[in-house]
Amino acid sequence: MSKQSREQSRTERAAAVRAAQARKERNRRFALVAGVLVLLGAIVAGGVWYSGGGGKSTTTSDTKSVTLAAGDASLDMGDASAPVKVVIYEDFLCPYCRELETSTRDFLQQNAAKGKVYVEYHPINLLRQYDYSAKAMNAWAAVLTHASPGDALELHNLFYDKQPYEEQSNESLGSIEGWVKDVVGDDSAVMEAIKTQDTSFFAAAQQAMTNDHINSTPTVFLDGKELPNTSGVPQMVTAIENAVQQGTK
Amino acid sequence: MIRWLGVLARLVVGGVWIWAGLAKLPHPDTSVSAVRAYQLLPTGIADTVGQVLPMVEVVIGACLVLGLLIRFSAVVSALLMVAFLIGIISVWSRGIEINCGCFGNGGPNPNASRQYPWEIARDTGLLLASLFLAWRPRTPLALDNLLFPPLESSYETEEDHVEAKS
Repeated sequence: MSKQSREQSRTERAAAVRAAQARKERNRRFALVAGVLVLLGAIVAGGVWYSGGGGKSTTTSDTKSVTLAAGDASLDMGDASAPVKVVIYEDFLCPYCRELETSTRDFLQQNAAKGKVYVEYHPINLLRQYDYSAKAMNAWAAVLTHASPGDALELHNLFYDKQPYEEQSNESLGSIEGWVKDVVGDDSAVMEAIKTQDTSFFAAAQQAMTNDHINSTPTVFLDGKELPNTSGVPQMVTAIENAVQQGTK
Repeated sequence: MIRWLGVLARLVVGGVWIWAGLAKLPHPDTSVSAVRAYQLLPTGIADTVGQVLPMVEVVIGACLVLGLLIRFSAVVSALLMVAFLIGIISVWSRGIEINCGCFGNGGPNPNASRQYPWEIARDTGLLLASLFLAWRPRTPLALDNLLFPPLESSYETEEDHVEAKS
């Protein structure tokens, strides 16, 4: 073999080795990137699950295990002699009421069932610039008055699960009747009642707002003392949880 | 010099992501409220985004600080920044006054219009830093350098090896 042929052969062999090595390296990198992406995805999923985002409460929570009663424009949950009393003024369209609701729903229901807390839910019509607020409250009043407190709690929870954006709430006006039916079925008394505004219920709710000087939602009274709402819902939730866990008056 | 500028960009952008994510992580319901406050995404999607976003932010931030999959992380970072910029410009143009919720402090804010320009400037700066990293992902002190060493050097080594054997 001439020197030139040997040189050519060596160059070709080196090129083949380089190509094989490049293929091998590409495959290694592809597998590594895929593995790292799967690992990162698993970390994200695990973190979401651990932080509670994957276990949202829904209206399927058991509303039969707790004592419920219709109050004066309110739904009362638990034993009135419980060591802690929580009064919540809320609007079905208020987004931060939704946050308070989803953050405290299971906790309050479970502890009301254990006799540790007594809760009064006072839906009010604060966001009057949106028709949805009044229509949802009227539907809820019809269920509380003509069906049962248990149904009213289920509808209360469902309204927050389905809460539309304020600016787009007119598009959801037609859905309210369907959500009521989802809870009470074809209850003729309820379906008839939702057609006209329950003026006495609205007046009672307005009177309660006036008595307690309510001008924003959510407003929470913990054993008669109003919680500051300027620092955000998480601080309100913490205050409620601490009070119930400590059983303080 | 430009490679060390990349390290600085990684630490700044990654640090901001980690800070933002950790601030939101303990309060998933607040994070959901913050996303919903923009009234942009369909409610179901907004809820999912609110729940997932804090962990995505922490992971992307950690990847940038550690130098893992830098180009990928920088592209995701840039896309998120574009989404945030669209969100802030959108609420500003619609007259909705909210805290951006970027660091877990969402909620109504009557003076939000004064803060929107600063938030837009901040996110634009972070967007530019992310784009710089997507353009020049090779930086010192990065896990990528261990996992994915530059191709040329590894091939040269193999070629030298072959030639030495011949």
